[in-house]
Amino acid sequence: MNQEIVIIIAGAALATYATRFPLLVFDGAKKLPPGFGKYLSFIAPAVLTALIAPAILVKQGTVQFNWANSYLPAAFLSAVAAYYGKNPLLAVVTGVASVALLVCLG
Amino acid sequence: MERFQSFCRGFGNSVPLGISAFLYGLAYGVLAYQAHLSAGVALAMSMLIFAGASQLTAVQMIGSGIDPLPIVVTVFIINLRHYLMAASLAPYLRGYPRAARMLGAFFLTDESYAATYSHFQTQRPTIQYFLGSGICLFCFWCAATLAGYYGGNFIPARWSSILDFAFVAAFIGMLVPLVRNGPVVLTVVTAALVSVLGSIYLPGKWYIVIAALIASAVGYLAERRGVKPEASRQAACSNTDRTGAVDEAGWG
Repeated sequence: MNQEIVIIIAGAALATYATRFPLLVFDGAKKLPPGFGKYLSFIAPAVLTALIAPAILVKQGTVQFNWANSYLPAAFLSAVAAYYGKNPLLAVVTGVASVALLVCLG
Repeated sequence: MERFQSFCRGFGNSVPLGISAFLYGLAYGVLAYQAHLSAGVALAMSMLIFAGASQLTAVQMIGSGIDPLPIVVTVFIINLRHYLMAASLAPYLRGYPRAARMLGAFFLTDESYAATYSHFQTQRPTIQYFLGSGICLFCFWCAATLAGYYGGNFIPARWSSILDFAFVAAFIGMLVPLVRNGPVVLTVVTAALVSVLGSIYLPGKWYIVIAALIASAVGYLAERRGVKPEASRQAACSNTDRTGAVDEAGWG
């Protein structure tokens, strides 16, 4: 447990620093190929989606696309709040409040 | 003396961004507490990794089983956007000693990049300003981690299943502003499909990396093929959330 946590922290710290320093430190690295930058611009939405889609849809190894899954309407309401509220925190509050309400009602 | 003033200006100008990062740091601290990490581990992550979205992701992945390799690879992929930011700051900092740039690079985040880059457009670029901004964010981030962690003690246990959704909602809050055109919509749909299937059929947590790489490729190709060619006048970095997320989620 503890040893693995140390490996995770050290590995993640090194991986993160490895993305921060090369282009600031090595003068030779002036330009990224333009296509690479474009590709990277899609990474953020792709990773965020890959993190949350299974958390919303998959329960105990099966896809739960039905009314019993309180995360679905809550996720929808969070997205609406994020879209109109322009504030990520509002999305958090809305989402958590929705789940709380659905759990209490259910 | 002038250097110190420049550092202080960088620090002071970043305080508003620091406050928004603080709110995310609180969420990270609470989640770290719920994932049964120790306070030391939660703080060590903030001090050593210092990247919001990556830490939230790592905590979430640790919560569902510890397997270092996919976690580290996922963190690396989440942070690839730093290359873009470093590339756009590099010309301004070229004259400074390598050691100073090595140190500055550690404190590079979405927020300090945004503050520094906009300042350098109108003022003389100094590495002290960049360091001041980065260290300001670092202080807020670490303080928020502890505040969230110990604040998490006061949350009743029966609420914790409800608060599990906070992570999902936080990421939705970061994701929605990024969805601006057809190719991004396609990226999101692809990532959702691949990650859902992958989470069921692939071992461990590799589905995150695989879905991210495949979906990014789909979005990139769609944009090149001209699916709804939007006026993509985005700066190289505007895809990362400026709202104080990570990323961190972006993400930090």
